[in-house]
Amino acid sequence: MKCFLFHLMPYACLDLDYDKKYKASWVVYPNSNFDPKAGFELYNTYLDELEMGEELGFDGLCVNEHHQNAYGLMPSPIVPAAALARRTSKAKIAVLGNAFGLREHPLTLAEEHAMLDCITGGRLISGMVRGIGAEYYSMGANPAFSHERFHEAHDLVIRAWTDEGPFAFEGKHYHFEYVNVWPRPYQNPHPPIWCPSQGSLETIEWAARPDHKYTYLQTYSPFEAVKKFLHMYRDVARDQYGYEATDSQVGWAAPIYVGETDEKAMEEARPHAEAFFNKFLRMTPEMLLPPGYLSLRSYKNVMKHKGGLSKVRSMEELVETGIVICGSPDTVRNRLEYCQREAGVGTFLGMFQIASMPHDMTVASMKRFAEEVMPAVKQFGEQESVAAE
Amino acid sequence: MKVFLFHLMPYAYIDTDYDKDYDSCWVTYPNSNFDPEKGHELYNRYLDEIEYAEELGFDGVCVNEHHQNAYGLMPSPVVMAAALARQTERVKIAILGNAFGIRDHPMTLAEEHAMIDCITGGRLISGMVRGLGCEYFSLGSNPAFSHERFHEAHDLVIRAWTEEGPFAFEGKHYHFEYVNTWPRPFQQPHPPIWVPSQGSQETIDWASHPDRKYTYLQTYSPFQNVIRFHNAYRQRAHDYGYAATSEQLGWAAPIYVGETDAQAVDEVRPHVETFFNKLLRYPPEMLLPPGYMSVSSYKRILKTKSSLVSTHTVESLIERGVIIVGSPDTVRKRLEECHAEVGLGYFLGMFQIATMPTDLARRSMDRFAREVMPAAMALEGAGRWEPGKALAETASAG
Repeated sequence: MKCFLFHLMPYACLDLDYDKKYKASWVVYPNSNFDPKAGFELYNTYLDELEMGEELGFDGLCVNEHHQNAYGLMPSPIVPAAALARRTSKAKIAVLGNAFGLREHPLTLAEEHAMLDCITGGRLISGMVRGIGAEYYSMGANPAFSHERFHEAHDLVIRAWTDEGPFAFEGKHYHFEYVNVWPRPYQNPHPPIWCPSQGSLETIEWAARPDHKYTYLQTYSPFEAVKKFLHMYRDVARDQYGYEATDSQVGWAAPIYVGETDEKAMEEARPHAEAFFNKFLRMTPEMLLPPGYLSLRSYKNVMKHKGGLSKVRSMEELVETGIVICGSPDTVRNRLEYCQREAGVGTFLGMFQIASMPHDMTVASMKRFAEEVMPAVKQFGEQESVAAE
Repeated sequence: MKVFLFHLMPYAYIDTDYDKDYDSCWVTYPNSNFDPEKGHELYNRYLDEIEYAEELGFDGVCVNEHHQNAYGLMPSPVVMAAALARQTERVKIAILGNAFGIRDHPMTLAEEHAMIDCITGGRLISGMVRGLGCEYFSLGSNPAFSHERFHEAHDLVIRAWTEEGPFAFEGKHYHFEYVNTWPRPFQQPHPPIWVPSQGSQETIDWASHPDRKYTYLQTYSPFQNVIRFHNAYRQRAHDYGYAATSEQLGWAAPIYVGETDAQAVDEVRPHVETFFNKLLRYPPEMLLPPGYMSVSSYKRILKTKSSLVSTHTVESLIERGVIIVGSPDTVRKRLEECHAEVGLGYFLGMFQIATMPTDLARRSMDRFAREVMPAAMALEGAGRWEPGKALAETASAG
């Protein structure tokens, strides 16, 4: 199993009482609450943490896109990915993801990913997402076209990366007379595509297609849901498309904290993990799932698995349901081994810095993980595949 | 005078005979001619050169936006500015510029500039451009709305940077119900705005307005045009009722410093002639698509820049002051003369030119930093402009 370090770059100094006045720390939470001096400190601390991820031996570093919120200060993952490009030399840099279809000009992202891939000599992983519902308010986009535009933007970008330009593209949503992207990506035919999702059969069916075989990432979910959707991917690959999916096609992203003992870990992570789920992720239903954003079938599904996210969560519940991994190095190692065995996770993406968690605590947890957990975790799954050969 | 290093990141491996088959290395020149291995090497080499400028003491470094071409491999200057953000500590990082109005979502650039400004602790300079005519082909935008969208995108972005969100913005071209940019820029009220231009009275009128006082940059022009447009800016400011400062005026030019004048001319010749005759080659409709310019500007541009489509020699380029080439003494004197004439506050030197290899570019940067820059940085004064003078010149030119 490969280990990636995931960062959200939250506004750690968020006033946790903000919800007495505002219904979310997204979209409607005034940006006057953002202090640029604190932002300067946070961005550089977070980039230090990501760079440290490479030193500690993580296989990859992940950044992502969310607009107008205190939950994550990366409206553009391109900026931190570029900032990391020449500060790192081995780690994959995963943009997880960019919302290509949210924009009227997805080609600008195609250009930027190609630049990053060239600068890093092929270390880029291109995540493609629709963007969560809140993004559609921030960008003034119609959520009812979300799926259509995601697919059309994907087709345009893949063609821009692989077909010789100039060519014309006439879609339903996108029209370009001259598609001729300079530079082209370093990796041939293009960077690996990953699809982060909160659990959707449509996304799985699309990602698993034999001409795609894109890596599907389940994000922030109870472990039962992780298991269900990762198995669903393998089933779809086998039953619908007639091939066996490899471990590298499925991944899972989760907040993680490694303490000295189970007890200390719970105590230390508690305020930050609870703030993350109860404050930073707090969103009204219409903001998370605006009309038209999901098919009826998926809407029902998501409500079943994620409905609980809108209620108040305790640390115990988060750990028990497996949304969060927390404990001593032994506990965390055993837990990851169990998860790998149950769900066949190929890539584990750990979010170490959680909400308001200070730098020294984050670093201590990362180090414990790198020293006492990661060496074993990297072997998980390897033996079975060796045995199977 | 402050001294910046400007980089275009050209595709230095371009086959200079490409023009036997293609009328331009923009838009229609197939991207199969881009070799990603070479791109990897060039990007890192160029970023090394830019980072080296900080070591040499330059005040700032500049990157810019051009799409689908071999002339400059920066469709997104945001990537380069971000890559430099933590590799440098002191220099200003100038994005010269981003075409905010060519996009349907200028807010994404507002966010990215704010992020870079925060990461660098306020070292960002935000250039705003309409984008060249070619860009309108590459991005599928209507050039006839170019001015309107430039202005509206500017207004939206400045409001996003300075007003408390969320607010609604209802323009002619842009409609957003929730404008609430996180993060906000580090600099208060926002990063300095610079406006690169090839010479346009409309741009000057707009940039010099007392509400804005944005720095106007004349790019790649005969020095006579630098004088004309800088003086037009000072005159316009005077008409608005204030005196423009040197910080409001800049000039970008290719530059090469050799050991002697003769060596400099010899060494730079193939690269600078490739730059002007090959990389800057495009059919008129690509450079100036219908509706891109007002009729009066169109006439003026054709008069002052029409020579750009003819074949240039390094001698003619030096003589007209489009480029600065020579020994350290010659280059220093030339910059002193130029400064004495217009009193510009910023000189932006493009050291790496087209196919120029890195050792040549670096030696030129070294000589400049050692023997020219100290004197250039000490230059002060407002130039020879006097109220009324530019008006007469511009009138006779128009």
